[in-house]
Amino acid sequence: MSFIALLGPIVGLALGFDAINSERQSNTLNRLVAQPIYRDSIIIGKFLAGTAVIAIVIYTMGIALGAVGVLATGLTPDGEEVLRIFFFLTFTVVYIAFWLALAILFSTICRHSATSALVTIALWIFFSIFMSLLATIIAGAVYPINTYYGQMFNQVNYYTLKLNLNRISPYYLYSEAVTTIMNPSVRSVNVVTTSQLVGAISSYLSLGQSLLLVWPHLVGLIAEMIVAFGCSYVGFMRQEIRTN
Amino acid sequence: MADIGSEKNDHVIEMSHLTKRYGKKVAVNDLTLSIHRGEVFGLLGPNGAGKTTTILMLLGLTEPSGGQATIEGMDCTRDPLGVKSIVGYLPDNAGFYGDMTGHQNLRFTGRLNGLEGQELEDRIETLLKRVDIEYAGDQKVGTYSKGMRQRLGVADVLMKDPEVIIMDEPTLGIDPEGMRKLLILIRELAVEDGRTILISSHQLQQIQQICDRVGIFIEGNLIVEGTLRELEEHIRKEGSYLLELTVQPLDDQLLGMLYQQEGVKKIEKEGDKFMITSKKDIRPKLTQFLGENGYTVYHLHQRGGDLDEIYRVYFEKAGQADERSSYDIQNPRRVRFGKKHNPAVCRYFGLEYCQKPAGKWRIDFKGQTGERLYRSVRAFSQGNGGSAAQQTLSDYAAPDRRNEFRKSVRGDQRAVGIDKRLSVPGALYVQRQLDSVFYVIHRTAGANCRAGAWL
Repeated sequence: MSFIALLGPIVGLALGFDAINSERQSNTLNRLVAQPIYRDSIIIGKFLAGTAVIAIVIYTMGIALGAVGVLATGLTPDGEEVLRIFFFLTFTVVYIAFWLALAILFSTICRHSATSALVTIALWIFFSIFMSLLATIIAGAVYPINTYYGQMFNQVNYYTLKLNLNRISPYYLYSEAVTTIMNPSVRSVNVVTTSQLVGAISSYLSLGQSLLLVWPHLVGLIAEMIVAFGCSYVGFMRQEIRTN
Repeated sequence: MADIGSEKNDHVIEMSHLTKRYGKKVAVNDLTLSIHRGEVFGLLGPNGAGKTTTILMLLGLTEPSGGQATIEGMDCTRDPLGVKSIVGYLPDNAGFYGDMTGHQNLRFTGRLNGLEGQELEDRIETLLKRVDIEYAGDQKVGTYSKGMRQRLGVADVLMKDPEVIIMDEPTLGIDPEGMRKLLILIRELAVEDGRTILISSHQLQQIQQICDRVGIFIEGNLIVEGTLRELEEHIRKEGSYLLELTVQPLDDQLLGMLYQQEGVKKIEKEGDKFMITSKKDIRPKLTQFLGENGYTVYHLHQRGGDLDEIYRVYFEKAGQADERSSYDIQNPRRVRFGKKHNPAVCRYFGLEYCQKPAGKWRIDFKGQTGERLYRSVRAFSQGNGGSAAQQTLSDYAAPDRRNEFRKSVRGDQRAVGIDKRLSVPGALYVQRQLDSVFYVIHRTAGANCRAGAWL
């Protein structure tokens, strides 16, 4: 799952990085815009086509692998487990669609498809690898925990801030959400103190409860996707289409 | 869409006070123009004049900063879909999807325009035949040559059966035979199919062949518009005849005679041709003179009625003339020759008078370049037997001598110690040099200047 989290964006990127750029470069864009279609249907079409491809790929892959698993191990999953897998696949689709929207955004802004691809790759590497480092540094600066004082009073704030900063990165959001969904023994996504655990029954979480834990992550991912796509939409609608 | 019941307006495209500004730069300035049904209208102008911007505004691809444009009554900015369904646009460097075949590209366009099924297929076939690339219909467009791509572009434009076709530089980069066929096709579309065609180009010969009316754009302004005949008449009225003349022997007596003709504005030399710009037709007197003096005429042609000519005139009028005329005003030339007063000399240089009892004298004036001046003086002095004159003149006309003269002249000021009786209204500057006093009256920019000298 961290494998998909790390490498899934490449799929989104590959589908979207030259969406508007290549049309501009090959001079087909001004011919396209001169047809009696609304201009937003062009960019929405690019996005929806990419999302449809991603959805088909992910779902068929999931089902196929599930079938392989059933055949190999002889164990059949029951209802709840199937649903968990389904939600996992949905999260994956939304995650990769975010990267598609981001790639389309940069293809609208940048002139050359190479530039937009590079910018998106740079963001991908940043979010995957460096965001957590950055979050640790910032949280450590705001709520230091290397002093005695800090160790006594700042722990919770430190972890909460670190978590919240990490959750800006869609990579982290996705990883967290997916680990929670697929692993019913994950009981919380935040810091919990031992006193809060007093009286809790140690068993697996049901699907509904797991979903309650991760719906903010889903909303966050969808929100980021919509913001990225919204920017590219506005940018494309206001641009002047001219031959180079 | 226009109402079926009401009578169709004769003005298909109407632009009123259309303006487009990019920050401080005005790309299109207050354009008002209408184009009639079934005509071929040519938008002419140099690069960067605003032709493409106007076309983009007509199609709703750019928002105008002011004014309004309508096609068949539909506002171009408010109702772009309506406009685009009746207007076909062929941009310059039209691109296609290289890995799809010609058929597939046309099918894509047809589907975007709402065609489908058998009707779509039939139309594709018909159009491929009409533009003559049927043989390449199933090859990938990446393998097409430029001419084929252009023709595919025309087929693409015709897919929606448009009432108005807008073409941006359709003949750029096409070989002569292809261009001929394309122009025939365009003319057919207008005359036989009754479509209105707007072409933007700067290839004047081609435009001349097919356009009913033209409009000349310079720096965002529509300088003039009308049929070729109207533009010709306009120029005639402004008084500009251009005569091309090649004679043997090419001597300065002829030049002298030419300068003496009234109405002659300037004479230039291009290769072995004289280009004579004049206010009226000098051919009657000229041919008589040539015949009487035994000249052989190799080429005599009155220009005008040629789009090249019209374009050039308007281009110059709009202030884009070459640097020479503005340079003239700033940099006077000095000429020296020794002869007695002669009225013909004055007319050559546009002097009021010139005289010097003995020795040599100088005249300062503006309005002629060294080269022309040289010719005129040479012509004159040969007729009057002074060869020393031209020597000195060429010295002073040389570029490196100009600077020393420029230093001694103060433009737009009066020099110190002016004799009151010499102050003349309109004098640009007066200068005292040695024992002579010069003054120059500058009438209008580019007109002949009057200069005089006293002792």
